[in-house]
Amino acid sequence: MQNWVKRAVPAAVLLGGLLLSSTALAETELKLMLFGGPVDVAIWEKLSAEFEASHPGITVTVEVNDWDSYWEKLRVLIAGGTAPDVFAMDASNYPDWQARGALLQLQPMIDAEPELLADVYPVSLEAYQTPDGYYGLPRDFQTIALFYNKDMFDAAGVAYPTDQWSWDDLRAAARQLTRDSNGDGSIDQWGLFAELIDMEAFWSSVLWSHGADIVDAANGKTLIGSPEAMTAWNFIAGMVLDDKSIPTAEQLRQFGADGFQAGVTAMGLSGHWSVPDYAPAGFRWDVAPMPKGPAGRVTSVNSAGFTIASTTKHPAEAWELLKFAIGPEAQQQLAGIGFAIPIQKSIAEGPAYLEQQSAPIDHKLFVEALDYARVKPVFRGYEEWASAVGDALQMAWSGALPIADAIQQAVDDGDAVLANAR
Amino acid sequence: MSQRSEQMRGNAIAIVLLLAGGIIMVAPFVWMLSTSLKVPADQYSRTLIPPILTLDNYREIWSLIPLQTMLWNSLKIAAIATAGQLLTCSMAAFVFAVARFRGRDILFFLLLLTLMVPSQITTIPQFILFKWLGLYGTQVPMYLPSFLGGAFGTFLLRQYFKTIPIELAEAARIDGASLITIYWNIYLPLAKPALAAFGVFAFMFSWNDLFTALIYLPSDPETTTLPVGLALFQQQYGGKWTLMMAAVLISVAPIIVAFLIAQKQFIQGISMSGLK
Repeated sequence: MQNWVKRAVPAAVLLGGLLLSSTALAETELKLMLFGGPVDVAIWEKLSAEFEASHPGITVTVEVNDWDSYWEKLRVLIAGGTAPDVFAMDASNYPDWQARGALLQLQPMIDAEPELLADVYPVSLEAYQTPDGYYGLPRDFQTIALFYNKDMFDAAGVAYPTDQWSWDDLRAAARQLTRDSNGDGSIDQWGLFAELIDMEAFWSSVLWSHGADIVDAANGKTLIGSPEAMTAWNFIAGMVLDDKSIPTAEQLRQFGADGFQAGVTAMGLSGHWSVPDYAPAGFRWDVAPMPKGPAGRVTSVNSAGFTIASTTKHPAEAWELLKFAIGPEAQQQLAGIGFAIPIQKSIAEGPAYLEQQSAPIDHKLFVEALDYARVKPVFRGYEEWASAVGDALQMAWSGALPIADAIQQAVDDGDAVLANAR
Repeated sequence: MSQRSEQMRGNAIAIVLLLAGGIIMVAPFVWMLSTSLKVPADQYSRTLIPPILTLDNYREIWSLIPLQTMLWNSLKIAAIATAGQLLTCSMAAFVFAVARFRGRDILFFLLLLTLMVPSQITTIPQFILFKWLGLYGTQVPMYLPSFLGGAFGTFLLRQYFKTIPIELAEAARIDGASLITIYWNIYLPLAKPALAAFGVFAFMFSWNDLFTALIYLPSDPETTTLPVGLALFQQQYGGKWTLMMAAVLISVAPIIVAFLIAQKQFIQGISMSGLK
């Protein structure tokens, strides 16, 4: 008996050791998928090489696709049972993916590292919180600011936007800057470029700063038809339909999607993602904070993040990769390319972000905007709801429906979606 | 004399009309070429001649994505897929057009029915099938289905084969030719115009196929195709038109070449078969 134990114990230790070393030697392959462009390919290749160097035994394949392709691909891969281990997420789409059971619950891992999120802006975390914890974490965020074309303001003799501007100041300036410069009877320079269908860049802020709210998903209510909201909608409709100082998407088609970049609008509402695109523009430009409304100044904040597939075979390694991707090293380098704002306070308020080379503007303005920012609504059924509301708005901007009727339709259709999604 | 001058006037009108049509068709391509030679700051300028002429866009694409590899991948896949379609669709079409067997028309009807099934419905089952075969992540799913015939090509070629007098096949049969000989030596040469036209279709379809490449191939430059690389330019936010146009120009060039080759075949096919 004694003899047997004596022999068995070292044998077991040896066997165990062999097993351990063989698992340590086996390469773990992780797939990281995200949306972006050629710049992102380059930077993520570099970051994944750094991750591999500091995590021996793990290899990472990076796949970057453009925004539309990314979501198509993700849908098929997850439905087909070949989900990437770690993949990029947009806050707006997050609840739907979470509801489908595609995402790994991260709360136990986060609980084990209480310091992990200490330096992260709480507002960017908000969108990823669910009643039973986090299923994803933000990697960057975007606030909206007012971009203006100095050349056009100078030519028209209009004073530059200031941090004291109200929406009425913006409207007045936009009216002055809308013109038919070659006299052929059609407008060829507009006051403001603003996205009229999606809420993020423009109409959510106008509604909020008029004291209105957008949606109460928990109770299945679309709130964009309240009296305060109607004041805001009438303001927007006044600019689009009466002043004609905001071009519609159809009018802008010939100039590409972005009228400010094309140099045909004097102002534009957009996030920091536009800065690298605007940098090589053939005109002088700068940024100002979002204008104020009757209920104060409000901008919207939205954040992209990372999630782990619920079906991953390597949850521990995938978690390491996710932590690395949102960690200080990676954030530092991502800040440098100038598309988004890092979620780590120390980096967004440090030289990596503030002194980036993308364009000589006040980058701090986008971070300070958090003081008056509200989170872009995030709820189950968002995609369907947004397209129902967008369809109704489309009718208003094309003039097919009066604004009041269009909003009524948006509320009815939006509520129908919410009732289904609950 | 007057008849001749009338003919000349007719020609002149035809030439003017065709020229106008030609200009309308070519203008977007010329604009594309012009934009691809502009600097980014001029990308929305409305002049045809670029204010500053540059080849930087082409250089930049080459440095941004490994275009040669993607071009080669696309070309290889499109060539194999086209060959597969031409071979198997023409075989199936021949059988449906010439051979007589019980249930032929029902089979053909069933084949046509598959045209009515939207591809979205079969995407996931097909994906799972290829995954099960261990072919996910390889280029095989890009061209293997092309070797399994296809309703569109089979239908198109069958209709063409139907116009070839059946007596030709019967005469060959009496002389002792097998079905395969009749297919290969009589029907295929006579169907060159149709094959050329369908070949261009098949090539274009495969060449432009973003979705299949997107879902089956890892989106890394070594394995993926040109449309996936091009889509990368249309970034999440905004577009860089000068770069896009340069890239698109590179991507349409092989199609134009394929079409020119096929066009020669059209004329040859028509003159050889004596069909009008």
